[in-house]
Amino acid sequence: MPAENQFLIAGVGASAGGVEAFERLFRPMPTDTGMAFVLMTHLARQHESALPEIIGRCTKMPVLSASDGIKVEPNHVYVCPPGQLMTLEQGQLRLRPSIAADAKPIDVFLSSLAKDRGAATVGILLSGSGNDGTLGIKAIKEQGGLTLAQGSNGKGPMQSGMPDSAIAAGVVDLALPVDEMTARLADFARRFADVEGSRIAEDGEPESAGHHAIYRLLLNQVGHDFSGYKENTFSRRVRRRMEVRQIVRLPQYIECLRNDSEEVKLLFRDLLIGVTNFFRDPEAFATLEKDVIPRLFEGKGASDSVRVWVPGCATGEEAYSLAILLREHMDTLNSAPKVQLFATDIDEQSLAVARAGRYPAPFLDDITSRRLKRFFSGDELSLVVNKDIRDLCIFSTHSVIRDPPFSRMDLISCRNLLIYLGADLQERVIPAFHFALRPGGYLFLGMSENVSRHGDLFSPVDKKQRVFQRRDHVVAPLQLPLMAQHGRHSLPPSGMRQQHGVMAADLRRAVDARVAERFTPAHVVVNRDGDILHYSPRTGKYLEPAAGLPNRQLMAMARRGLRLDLRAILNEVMETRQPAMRQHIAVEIDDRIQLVDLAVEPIGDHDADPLFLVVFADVGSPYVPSEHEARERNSDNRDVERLEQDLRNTRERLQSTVEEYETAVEEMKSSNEELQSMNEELQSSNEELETSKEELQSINEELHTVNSELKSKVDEADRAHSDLRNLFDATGVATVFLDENLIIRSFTAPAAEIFNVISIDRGRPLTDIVSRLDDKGDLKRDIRTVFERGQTIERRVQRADGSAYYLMRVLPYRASAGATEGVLVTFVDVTGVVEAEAHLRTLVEELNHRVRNMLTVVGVIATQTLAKSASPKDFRKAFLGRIEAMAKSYGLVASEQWGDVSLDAILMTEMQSYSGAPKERFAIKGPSLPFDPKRALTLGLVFHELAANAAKYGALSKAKGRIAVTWAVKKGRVVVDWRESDGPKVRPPQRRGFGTELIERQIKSALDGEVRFDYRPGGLAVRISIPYEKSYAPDPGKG
Amino acid sequence: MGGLAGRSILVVEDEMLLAMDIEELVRAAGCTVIGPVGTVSDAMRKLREVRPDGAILDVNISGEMVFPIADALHEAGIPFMIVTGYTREHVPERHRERPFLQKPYKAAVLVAMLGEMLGNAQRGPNSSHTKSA
Repeated sequence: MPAENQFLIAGVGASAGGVEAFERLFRPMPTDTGMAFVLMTHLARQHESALPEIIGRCTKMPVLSASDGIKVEPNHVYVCPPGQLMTLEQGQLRLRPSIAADAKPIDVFLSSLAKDRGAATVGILLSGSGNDGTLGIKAIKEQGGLTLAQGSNGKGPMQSGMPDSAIAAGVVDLALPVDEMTARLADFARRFADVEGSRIAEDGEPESAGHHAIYRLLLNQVGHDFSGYKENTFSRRVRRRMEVRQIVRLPQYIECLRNDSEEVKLLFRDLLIGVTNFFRDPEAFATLEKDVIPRLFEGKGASDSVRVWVPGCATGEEAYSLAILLREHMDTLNSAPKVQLFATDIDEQSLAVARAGRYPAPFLDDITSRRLKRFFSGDELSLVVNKDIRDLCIFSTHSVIRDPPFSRMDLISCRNLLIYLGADLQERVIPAFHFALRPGGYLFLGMSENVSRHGDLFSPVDKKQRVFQRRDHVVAPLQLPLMAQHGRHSLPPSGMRQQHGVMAADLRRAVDARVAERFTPAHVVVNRDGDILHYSPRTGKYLEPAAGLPNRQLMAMARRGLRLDLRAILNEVMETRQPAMRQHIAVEIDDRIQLVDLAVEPIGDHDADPLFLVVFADVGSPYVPSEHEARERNSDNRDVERLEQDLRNTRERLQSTVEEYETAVEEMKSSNEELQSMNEELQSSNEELETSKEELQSINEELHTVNSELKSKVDEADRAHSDLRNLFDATGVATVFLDENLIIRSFTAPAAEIFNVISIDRGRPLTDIVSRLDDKGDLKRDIRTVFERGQTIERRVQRADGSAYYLMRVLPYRASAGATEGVLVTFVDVTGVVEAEAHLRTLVEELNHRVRNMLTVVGVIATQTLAKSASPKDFRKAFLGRIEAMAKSYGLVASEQWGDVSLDAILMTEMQSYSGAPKERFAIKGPSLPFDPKRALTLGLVFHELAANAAKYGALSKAKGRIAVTWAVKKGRVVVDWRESDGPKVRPPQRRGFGTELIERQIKSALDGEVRFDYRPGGLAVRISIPYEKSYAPDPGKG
Repeated sequence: MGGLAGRSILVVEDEMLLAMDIEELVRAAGCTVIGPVGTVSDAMRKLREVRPDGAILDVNISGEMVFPIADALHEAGIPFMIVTGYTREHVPERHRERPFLQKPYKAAVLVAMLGEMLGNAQRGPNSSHTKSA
């Protein structure tokens, strides 16, 4: 067995509440344990499963959704897809769609895992309801794997049905909370690798020596010899227990066994787990089939019944095996009697599994294929027993120790239950079985069991196969539980009677007493038992105390000779209740013979405690014995006759007593049978209720799952809704939702600005609500159109007070199928857009207007310049210069974003055209004064003209020429002085040039100022004076 | 052009160069020029001082609209024409029928329009206005 081939595979099953358990299991799981994990759940096929993603987030191991044929690798996690049945075949996972509604996928998978991998398996059951997994876990344990189930601590499992069912069936090695499982599994995996690896290296000797020690311990404590047990299996079981107890070395474990008798018991239980339980010990079942079953049916017709009881039926395999044999025999009969098989156990959860009758395929491996075909239906993974088997069986809870046994059974099959009970419990149970069987009934025990201690109750039919038959004509010391304690009202001890119906008046009594004392014959009063209750005086003649302990028995005290007759007469009277008499009885008194007459009659009540008066009367006087002999001879015969009579009476009484007794017993039996029958009916109803309960549980599980999913869908929907709501509010778009009747379904908050809607207006037609728009009639029509035709309408609407514009869209509200379910009206505030459009229009018009103006101005400049120019060259220079100056001015103003421009900037701009280095030829001095664009442009033109003139005629026409410009603010006016120097000689011009005229006009009209030209010989001096306030022309840029 | 001689024309235009140009044209046509004035208040003042025979108005006068002047002229029965860079839509409806000339204009056109305006006016206040060319 090479170690790399046999890595551990853990099969983990869970249902409702499993997701959380899986997360807690995998989060701390090391990624190098060498184990592979395969997960099974109960999700139905139509559900999407996010389980691989959820688990993928908890662990670094690769988590895959299993596919058909995938090979299982160590340190990987595989998740079975919903609605599939999964098996492991030669290390590969195989998938088949699950069809049966009651399939047990966890059982199917774990059984196939056990079958394929044997002891290199771990079975783990986590939270879930129902009992899927119990059989699967059993299979793993049987093959020597380790089994775990989720035990509870404060944190789970959410549903404990599944783990509890397996725990109750006794097939779980470790019941742990999930948080403790991971560490144990990791430990186990580590040890497993070591052990498997070193198995070959391990010396066989020490292990088998250890085994011998264990055999001895087992023999001593439980009385069973396991030395003939299969070595491998024994070794595996021992190792599993060592694993559970977390003991590493065998000698330590042996020590543990010596000190802990509980561990011995647990090891013993483990050892008893068989491989499969259908037809366990096939030879025994063959004997049953051949020798026993036919005899059960012998002599029975359709109105009779065959009753079988299987106590300790656990998960039902044994019961169904018997049912198969019974049904097979029934099939051979023409008219079969009614067959009832009562299968009982104390564990309700195992019974639930049994009732379902569904087993994974590996459990049925030992059944012949003929029987499989006839009695089971299903597929190759999981089969369920057919109705004709199932109907024979009634499953119910019952304890052989606590509850009264069944009765009138033909066969009891109790295999591997008795060995779990101690000897004293067996002492009670086996007689109970004896009671429960009909005369000649059969008892079938397990291979390790015997009734040798009760040989008086059972005789062997086939000792080897453990088939026994009830011995009749014994009365088993049946200790019926619960009944022994309750005392019936027992008869109070005798002699405590008081006066019964004997009364007398006081005087009468005194007189009677006297007479009785003096004159009446001796007498006594006795009860039915012959005890004397009353003595008269002078009975000494007839009665004598008996030797030994004092008693009041008349018979014991009566003198010899009286006894026989006394007895006879008493009996007669007791029976007949009539007075009787015997005469001339010879009594020996003091060596003489006295003849006595005896009279007995009943007194007092007849019913309850009858009393009898016995009267002794002497007859004649005593005489000597010799005289008596003659009489005696006569009386001898009479004595013999009397004795014979007595004997006959006695016999008769015995007979009648026996008959009474038998009648009583019959009545008891009959009551018992009635009770039994009621009990069976109740058990039958109980079965049905159990089945319903199972169905309800199954529905409940589904509902639980669906509910969780619905809940998370609802949460998603809530979130989505909340998102939408927030989105709407964020967009600030007024939206109204109308349903197919154009009733308001809902609206966003901004809609309240357009319509007078408040929250209670949901449910009213939109057109009822007052709108603040100016066209209501159109809206109604538009809504109709959209709803009927399904097109979208979009147009601009205006508030009635004109304060806002909206782009209104009316859209059909489409359901997912595409049908129009309602209408959606949205309003997007486009006031800004409208205003911008208007503004844009204004601007465009302004632009147009200004451009026209500008062109006109250019035209005028051109015309004027042309008129004053001497030549085209002149014209060109002057014209282009002006145009350029205008452009520069505009540029300057534009660069200030049409804000204020300072005077020196204006100057500089113009100067630059005339000199590469303005500072050389220009001296500029003055405060920084801002001017609005309109005046700045005007000043620009003015300075240009001045400069152009200077260039043509003045200081700039000569290289040495200089110009100084200074300005200052005085009394609300700016005074600018332009002084040219070092230029050519200055003469007043002959005519005013266009430039001069332009300067004058500009300054006068546009600047509202004055200008004076001073043609000094040294150079032109111009003084410009304009009012200066910082007020702007309202319409800048008109140039 | 006989009707033009000696007429006085009020020129309302705030752009100095254009005012200059119009002034020259009007003078060349034989009229006298009142102004040019560059603000609405200046124009009002002039009107109080003197009664022109006609007027040439630009629409946007230093940021103000010229229409109060137009109204005053209309009240007084003085003909006027509008010379502007704006389109006719910008003229209020009551003055929309007045002679309208868009800049840039041909000098001859302006003069002809002026003559027509004055000629019509001569014929009486009820004669119909003609549209601009």
